[in-house]
Amino acid sequence: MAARKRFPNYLNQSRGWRSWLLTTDHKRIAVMYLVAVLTAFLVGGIFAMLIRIEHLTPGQTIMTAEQYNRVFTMHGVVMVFLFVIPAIPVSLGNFVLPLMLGAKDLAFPRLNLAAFYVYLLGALFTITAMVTGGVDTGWTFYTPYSTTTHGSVGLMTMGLFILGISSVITAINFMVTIHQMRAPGMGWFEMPLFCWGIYATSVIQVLATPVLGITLVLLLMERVFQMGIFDSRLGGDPILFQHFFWFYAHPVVYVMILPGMAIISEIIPTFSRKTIFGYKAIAYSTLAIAGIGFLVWGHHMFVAGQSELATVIFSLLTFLVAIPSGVKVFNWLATMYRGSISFEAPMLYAIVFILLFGIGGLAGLFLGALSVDVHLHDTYFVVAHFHFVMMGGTVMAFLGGLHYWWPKMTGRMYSEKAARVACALIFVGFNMTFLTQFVLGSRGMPRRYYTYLNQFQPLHAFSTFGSWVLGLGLFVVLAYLLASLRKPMDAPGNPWGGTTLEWTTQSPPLSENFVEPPVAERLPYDYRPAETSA
Amino acid sequence: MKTGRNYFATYLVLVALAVGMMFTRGAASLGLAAIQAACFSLVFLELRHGRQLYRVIFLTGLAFFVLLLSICFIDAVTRETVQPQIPRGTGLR
Amino acid sequence: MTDGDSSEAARIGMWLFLAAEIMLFGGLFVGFALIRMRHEEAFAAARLHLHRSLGFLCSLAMLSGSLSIAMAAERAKRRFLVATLLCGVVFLAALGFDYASVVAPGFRPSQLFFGFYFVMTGLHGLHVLGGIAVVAWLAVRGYGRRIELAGLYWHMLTLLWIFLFPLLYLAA
Repeated sequence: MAARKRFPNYLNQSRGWRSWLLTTDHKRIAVMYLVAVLTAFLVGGIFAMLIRIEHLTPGQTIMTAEQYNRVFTMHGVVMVFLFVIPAIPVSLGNFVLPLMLGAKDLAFPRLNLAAFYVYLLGALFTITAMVTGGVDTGWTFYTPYSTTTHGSVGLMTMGLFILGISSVITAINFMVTIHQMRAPGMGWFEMPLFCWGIYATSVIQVLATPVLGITLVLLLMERVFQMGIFDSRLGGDPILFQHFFWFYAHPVVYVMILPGMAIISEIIPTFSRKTIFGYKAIAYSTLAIAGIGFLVWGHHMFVAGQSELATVIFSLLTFLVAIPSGVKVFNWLATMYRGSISFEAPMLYAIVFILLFGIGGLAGLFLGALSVDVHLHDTYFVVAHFHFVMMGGTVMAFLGGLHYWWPKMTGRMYSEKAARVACALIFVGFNMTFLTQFVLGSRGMPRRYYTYLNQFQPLHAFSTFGSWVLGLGLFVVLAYLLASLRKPMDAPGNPWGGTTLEWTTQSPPLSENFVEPPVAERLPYDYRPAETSA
Repeated sequence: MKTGRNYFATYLVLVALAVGMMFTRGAASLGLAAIQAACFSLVFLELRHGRQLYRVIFLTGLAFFVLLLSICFIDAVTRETVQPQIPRGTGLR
Repeated sequence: MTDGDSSEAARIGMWLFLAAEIMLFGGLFVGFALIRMRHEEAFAAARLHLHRSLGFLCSLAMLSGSLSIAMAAERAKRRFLVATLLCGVVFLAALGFDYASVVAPGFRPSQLFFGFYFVMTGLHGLHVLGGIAVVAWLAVRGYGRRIELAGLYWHMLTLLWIFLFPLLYLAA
């Protein structure tokens, strides 16, 4: 029997709870963040299950209408602010970015730890708001309801403000790291595309999150002092709230998807054993998505009362933002074309991403068309759209990245057989749940409604059954990932044949990442035979 | 090269502009403020002699502020609004 | 990483933070501008209750603080940091007097113009308080290149006040 390998790595190089809670090692912070965001995913998922069970029958199934309003609000808030926005950057980004750049750590390691605790503080406020009466406004907090309703809106807005601070700190940290700490020989167009994705995400967070911050401050002022800025009785403008809110919240959906796309850009070349097609096109498209993403926020407000001119401008710009996303999808497919493809779990999730994000993105175009949106706005069509892009997109990419970098992070391989079963369950369950909702929405089922007409019940029930299959698949993933931790740490340094710098270290890496600071000698995704590479 | 004299000279200009502002109203005072801001940014924020990256970051921040302002403004101006009541507490009744 | 690199990294980080602050206050400026458009007379009337001279004193204090902190970075003499501290304190005192003179006759944040006035100057004032704390800490603990970072922060606050003053005290 082989003895358990006991080589030094970041997990065992220092011991004791203080060495974790006071660490400045980006890898340990990433692991702590991972536990936190997965917990948030679980909590948000439980709320989702409750929503779906309630919708098994029209009228009351397991909760009252007031409870239902609080449950869907909590589901949205927890999923959006505690999970989807931070998840990939703070866990996988934190872990992998310095390694990919050949750096020892991020630019500001102590700030990294501070951001983690600020995140926990924000999460604490949010959870406290949940248990002290809850919030029933929907995750969008539209005025005047949010300024007048009872419930813990104040606590929740403070929690979100604090979470926003954590986001901005991390974003600044990532940006400076990419500017200043690339290995010698690694120019901007020689770094992995994952880094481009993280960079663009961080730019959005620095510029957009403060606007949410000030919106929340004004919301609080309105609630506490009846200031009047959003109250038409007092001379204010409720639509102004929506402008401010969506100026942040639309770019933030690109914060959610860009890291996911960044992961896909890493997985596809590795599992096609082929250079990525159109590196510069993908890099520029990433920046374009970030930029154009700031110009389209009014498409959430087509029927809110903004002027017709503004509506037309926003609709036009919304169609534009689909173009760079399309460029990326085609480049990924072109990378796979005539590649030597293998279908391990990361690649399965990547392929699922392309399919589901494609569907979700196309649905977005329906919603961007003004005349169509009048009928689809605030129906389950919208719900299906954003679940396809956020879950079919970001969560699938997150799972793919988690599997891809799992051996690097933990030193163990997961069970590939179990992974394929889980992926199948997740794919089937997801489509059962959300493809149905496109149909529900186009037939008129409104969102955020407690009850519904009897004719919608079969589809609702089918969607609920799908959510159980989806949930089962996710639990299977949790189970085999945790089970893998009991195996010995015998994963190779480069199990997938990746070409980026993180694969040149041991699995798991040393605390200081590299024995000697690496020099970038070859381009990423360079799969040419050794004697012909530069 | 930055010297103490440069800062002080610019400071005097800025104070003069601030004094001038006291005698203006409306768009004129905001115009003076813009001139102040430009002088201040070039000298004190070292935008004139500093690294290109800092100019990019600063101007990007400004650009996105202008973006928020302009589209909200276009909407507010082209909307059909009902004339609101005079808000309470301003002394005008 | 050499020390030069890490101070460059810190500089870029501070600049990014400044961009974030521009967006934070930017929302307030936009809200003020749009609401003012609907209530020009009411805002003009409300503005008369503010004291222009106190606002001017605030401007003077911020500008002087910027000068002294720039000199502190140039000349590395502690007295410049103390001067900056004084400027900050004068700013907050002037603002405080203006608050008192507004609150006394009964104006509150619940009235649209004053709501903006208190939020905008309050948020700015909180940032100035933070700046005073940082400068005080640097004055006590000794400083090197870090004073330049504090200077950038202070300059941003001055830049914001350059616009806050005419917007709140003068315009129309």
